[in-house]
Amino acid sequence: MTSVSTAAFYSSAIYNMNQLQQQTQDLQTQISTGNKLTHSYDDPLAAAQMRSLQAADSLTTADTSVSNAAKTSLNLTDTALTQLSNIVTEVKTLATQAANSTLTDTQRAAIGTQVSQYYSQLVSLANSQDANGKALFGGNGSGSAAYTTDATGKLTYVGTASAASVSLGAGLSVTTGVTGPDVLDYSSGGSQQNLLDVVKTLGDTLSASTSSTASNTAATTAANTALTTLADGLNAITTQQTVVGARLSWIATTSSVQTAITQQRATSESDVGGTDITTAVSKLQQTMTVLEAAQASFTKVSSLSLFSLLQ
Amino acid sequence: MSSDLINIALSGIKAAQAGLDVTSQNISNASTTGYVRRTIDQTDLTGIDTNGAYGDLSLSGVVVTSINRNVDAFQQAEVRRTNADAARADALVTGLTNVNDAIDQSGVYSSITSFQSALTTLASNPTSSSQRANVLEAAKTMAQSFNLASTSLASAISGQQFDANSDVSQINTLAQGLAQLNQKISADTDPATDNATLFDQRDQILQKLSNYTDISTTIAKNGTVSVTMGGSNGTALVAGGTANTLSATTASDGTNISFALNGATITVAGGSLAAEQQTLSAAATDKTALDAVASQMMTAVNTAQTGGADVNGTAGTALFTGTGAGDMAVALTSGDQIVTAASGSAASSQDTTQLSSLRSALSASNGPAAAMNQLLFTTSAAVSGATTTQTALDAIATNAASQLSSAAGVNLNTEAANLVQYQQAFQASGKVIQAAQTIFEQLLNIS
Repeated sequence: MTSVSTAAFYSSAIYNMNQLQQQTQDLQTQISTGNKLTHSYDDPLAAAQMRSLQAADSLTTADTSVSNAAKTSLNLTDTALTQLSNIVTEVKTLATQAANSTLTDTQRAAIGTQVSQYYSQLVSLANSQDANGKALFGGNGSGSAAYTTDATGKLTYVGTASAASVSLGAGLSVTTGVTGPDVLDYSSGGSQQNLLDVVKTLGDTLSASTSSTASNTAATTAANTALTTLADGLNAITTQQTVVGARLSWIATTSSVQTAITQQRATSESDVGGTDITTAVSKLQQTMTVLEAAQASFTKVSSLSLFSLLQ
Repeated sequence: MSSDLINIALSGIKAAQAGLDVTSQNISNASTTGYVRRTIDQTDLTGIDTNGAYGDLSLSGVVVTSINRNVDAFQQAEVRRTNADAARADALVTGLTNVNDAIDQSGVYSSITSFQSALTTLASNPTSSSQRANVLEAAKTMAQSFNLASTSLASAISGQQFDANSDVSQINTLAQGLAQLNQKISADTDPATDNATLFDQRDQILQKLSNYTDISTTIAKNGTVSVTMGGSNGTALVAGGTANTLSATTASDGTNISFALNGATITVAGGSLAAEQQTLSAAATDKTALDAVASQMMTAVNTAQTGGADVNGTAGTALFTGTGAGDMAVALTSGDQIVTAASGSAASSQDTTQLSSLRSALSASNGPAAAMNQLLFTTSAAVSGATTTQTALDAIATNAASQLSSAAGVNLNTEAANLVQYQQAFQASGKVIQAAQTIFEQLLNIS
């Protein structure tokens, strides 16, 4: 017996057409969403890869914001260092004037007052804050100021020994700043100097100038000594500016590396989970042609009944 | 002689009538589920005329010897067997898909990623209260996603249990129906009656049973059927006029179900019942894995918390409470309590020792994110594998059903031809009676 029962003919025709309909719908979804995977079980391996890739995307976004914050912090540091060096240059000019022995004690005292004003500007620069309100030169410390002044006017560094380091992703990291001692403590003529102390001492000495010869000599000597130490201090600042510049360019390098990786990942994502539009559209066309043919032939074949011919 | 002619023609009319009846019954039931096409068997009646001379034939026409149900018992058994396999595969795909969706759609994986992102951003400014609040919110979202996954999984599990229990009661109802049918069939001892309808019902119940479980059947001479479950050496579900009761026992944790027939434990290998058992077992494994991921996550975070100092410089306390995905909850009330710095750090420390070690623990190749990805891969691969099996088993079942249907189903074209054939036979026999009448009248007119 090879004939197919009528009920079986109908049910198999309906089943086949439903299958084709389902295929066209699946392809349509793939094309309209651009995703090959509607459910993770469509292709478990690809879905697992997609999850990893998308997680990496989202973590890279976070890394980018970290790297932007680091860039902001380093730019602020750079600006502060430029201002520091400007002020030190000014103080140096004043020291050169004060070293001139023909000046009167009043003139020298006036220079001393200016130097003291620059000193307070230096202190406030050393205590400048970053975008988050913490000490820019305080290293990894928690306070809003890098230096505290005691009752006698003596400055003490209260930050940490090293600056904070943040991860830029992909195993790369950068130190986001320089500490106060990095910039302001330096060696000059074999002895350890602190730029702030040097300027303070100079200001104090010049301000205290009296008409006595001893005072005059002491002030001139102090100004001459300060010239050398200030020049070395300026060098220390410039060195740190170079360091900051190098770090900024490191961030730029890692950013471009991250961008390249992100692009590569986007390509992988599209390879693994994206719809190949050309293939999908031609498949859809093919399936639709088959479905139309199936529908047309069903109508024809189902109308073939012996009963309709019996009169 | 003429009366013989009338009798012969009458038997022909009766046979044609029976053929027409069967044909019209077939046509009427062309789309009736479980209906098996009937045909008539007829044989000619001849015998030696004992009153006449030796060798004379006595022709007595035709008689319908039986009405056949055109069905092959082996093919039917094949259809039931393949149907049980296909039903198991179908139900398994549905069940495993529910389990996969419960975990996948709760968004646990993406919430883990968001939490990691929040931690990464916090690293750039560890004392920022807004970043800390962000981390705490991400932790809450993650805990809730785990809760949701656990609840959805529990609901998928209870759905499977419900289905299994409903299948068991369906099987019991069908078994009782079958037992009653067996009684009717064995009570009907008159060989002349047509038991075909009862047999149709019997086969239909057996077919329905095969949706739920794998069964072995033995059909007795009188047409009654005995059914066993749990393989060929299993326990009787229906024996003669009695049906045994199938019962299901669920394990206390709700993830394992076992079946007993008349008190004896049986193994179910086919039908939706087997799929539900298999799904529950898979769901139990997935539940354990989900709880393990949640626990791993909580341990990693809490270890970092308790081993360091928070923004106020005080020793950190556990961020999460709970033991698994279901009861995972955030214990901290303020972002300030999140630990980023090493133990003993001062208040508002910019140190990120603890934060860094937590971040590397989370993104490690054996960390919770990877474990979650693996779990999702396992559940979706199970669905994918079951779908492949389903396609194959469906094709096999469809093939078996279509073979049976070719033999047992009604083809309207065949019936149309039969209708014409029997109608003509009826008319021809009628013509014979007319001829007999003419002959008889001629004989009467001789005198």
